[in-house]
Amino acid sequence: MNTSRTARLTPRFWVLTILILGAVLLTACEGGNESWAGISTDTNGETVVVSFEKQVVSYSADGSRNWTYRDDDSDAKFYAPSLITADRVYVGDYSGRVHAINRADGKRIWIYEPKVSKVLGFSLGANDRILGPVAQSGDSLFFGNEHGVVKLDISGEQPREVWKFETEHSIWAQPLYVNNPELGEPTLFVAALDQHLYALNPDNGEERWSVDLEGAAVSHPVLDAVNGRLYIGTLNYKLYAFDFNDGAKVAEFKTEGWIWDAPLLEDQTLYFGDLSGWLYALPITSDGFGEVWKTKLSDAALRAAPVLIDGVLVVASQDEKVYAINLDDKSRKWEKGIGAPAVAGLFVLEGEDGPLLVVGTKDKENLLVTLRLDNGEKEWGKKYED
Amino acid sequence: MLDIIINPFITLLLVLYGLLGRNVFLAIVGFTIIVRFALLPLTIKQQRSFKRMQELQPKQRMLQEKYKNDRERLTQEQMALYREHGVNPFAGCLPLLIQLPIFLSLWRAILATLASTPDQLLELQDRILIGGLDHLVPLKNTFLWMNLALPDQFYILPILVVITTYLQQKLIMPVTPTTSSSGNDAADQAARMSKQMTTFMPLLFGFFALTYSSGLSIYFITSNIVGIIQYAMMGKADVRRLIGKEAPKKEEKAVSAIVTGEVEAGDVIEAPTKTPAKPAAPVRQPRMAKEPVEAGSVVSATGRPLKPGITERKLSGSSAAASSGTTTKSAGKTSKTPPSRNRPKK
Repeated sequence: MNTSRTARLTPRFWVLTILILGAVLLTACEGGNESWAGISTDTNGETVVVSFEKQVVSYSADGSRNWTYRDDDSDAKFYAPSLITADRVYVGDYSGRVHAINRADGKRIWIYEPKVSKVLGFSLGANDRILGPVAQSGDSLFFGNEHGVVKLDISGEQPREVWKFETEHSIWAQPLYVNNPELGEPTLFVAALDQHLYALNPDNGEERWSVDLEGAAVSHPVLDAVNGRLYIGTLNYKLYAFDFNDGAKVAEFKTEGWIWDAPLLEDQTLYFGDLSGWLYALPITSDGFGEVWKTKLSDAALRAAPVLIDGVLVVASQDEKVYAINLDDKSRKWEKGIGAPAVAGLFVLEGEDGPLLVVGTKDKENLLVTLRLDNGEKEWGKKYED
Repeated sequence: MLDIIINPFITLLLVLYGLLGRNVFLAIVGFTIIVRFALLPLTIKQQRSFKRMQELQPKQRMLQEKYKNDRERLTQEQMALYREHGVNPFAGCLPLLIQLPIFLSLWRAILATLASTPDQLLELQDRILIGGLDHLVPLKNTFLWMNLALPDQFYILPILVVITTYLQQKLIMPVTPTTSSSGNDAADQAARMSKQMTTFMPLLFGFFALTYSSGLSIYFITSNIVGIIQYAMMGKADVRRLIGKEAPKKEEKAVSAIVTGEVEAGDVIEAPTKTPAKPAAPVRQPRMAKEPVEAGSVVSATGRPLKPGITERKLSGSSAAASSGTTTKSAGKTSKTPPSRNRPKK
């Protein structure tokens, strides 16, 4: 009827339409991935394990798939890089659980379910996400979540929570367990988004010391056993050097952008990038830092730490390129596009014809890309297969 | 595209967070209040526009009825009506259209600064427009029992979001009673739409509160409360609407009198009476009608259709027949309607 059609064009109709449109837009704004793929390799460079959305997949260096792990009993989402040991793969999920997977066949060994406190029937801590990799020392696992760090005893058939250390903000970094008698007592170091670096007694979770980083720390500290120091980058444009035993600040270095990943320590030099696209080589001296070499590689972020292999420093950028730099003269060896922002990490595999670089992205069509170190040519790639 | 708004919002939110003792709850509340009050002129404009449109509704309905078989003429007449009253039918939507990207940006700014996912945190560096705020990132996301980067597990905030959204909708949306039993009348459509909005919007925002960060729920709740306060300050929030009643208006009564033919243009209309609303007065047929008058047409006491804008009195209210109790003078004679104690002085 005419009146009906006319009514549809009233301002109220438009208001309702706009509100619904806005609601749809809001949903769209929130859409997309929550994170990039979590990637890790074993120490021999034979296996790469990729965590993304609902599955964890293991590939050999030649690109063949070993297994796919899914937890079909839950809506578990995996973005944390896994820890690959000799016989197991440990990975945390977005529901705060830790999965122990048989490295050989991808079968589940156990799942650690966090103890959930209930108040009036409502669950607390159910969304205690794990975004960083777990760390292992003997029969102990350590991992960070939304509330702090947890220690698990994995000596039995089922894991058992030993202690929890609470922080004021989430922990996205992998805990660093150090047991070096020359340096001091075994210590667990944890960097948190609450802008602190904590040194904990790994036996009971008690705090030995903590330092204010004046900025959030997303990655773990790097141990310099030679000088007895820890190096850690922050989102406050600074890289710090702290004394291992008491956390006293030894030196700090100002950067052009936020530092996300842990620096690479090789031959008493720290290599790292920042989110403004700068790459740094910062020498370590007895009293702090030496003269820095830095170059602006790109306007896009260098989120992942570089790798150094056979005298070539390789960096992955959010500008969808991977850069290889000859370390001796700092000349550009090659740069290659990979078709997606390279934010997920950079690792090395032992390929049949030499080292392969593994680059992770958050693009489902280019989730994993491997490049040859010698010329940057693509060897193989993997997309997300649901 | 929205970055031009989002980035200043993120910066402002960080400044507030730093100033308010790194309390993310206070920062979001303060931030929402500032933005809502910055948008107050738009809100007022929107409300005025809605009001004017609402005032024209009786005339619109009459035109719809009169030209129900001639859509082209109807459109022309409606446009003429709008022109005559200086009303742009889309003017009420324009402020809303302007506000929409602002509220979207507000939402995004809160999500970005809480940085509940690595993706959000990674983008944040380039969004901070003032140096020296980086040490505040990401906002400390715990407040009372909540992790503001995650949905409220107790469902307290989503429930509050639903309640406050409902209250705001209910308090500010004018009650549009249905007039037609057939259910296909334009007024019925508008009434149904109003009802749908007051049901749909709280549920929609409740769903968002259940799904997304608690920080957003705090924004919704604060925004709703500020909205209610703003409307109350403007005199627009009417508690009676919570129970589905509209406050009696003098304009309605005046229109009623005109429509029912009890008063002619130029006649003196009573000042608002303090007497409570009375049952509907019977509709009187216009006298001296020279031609058949369609039901619902605006006519004078002489039976001639009234020209638009014939009186400066506002034509609000949905149904002439629903209003009553007005004491009028008609053609120099006192009408038989109940006497009033508030007759204006001549």
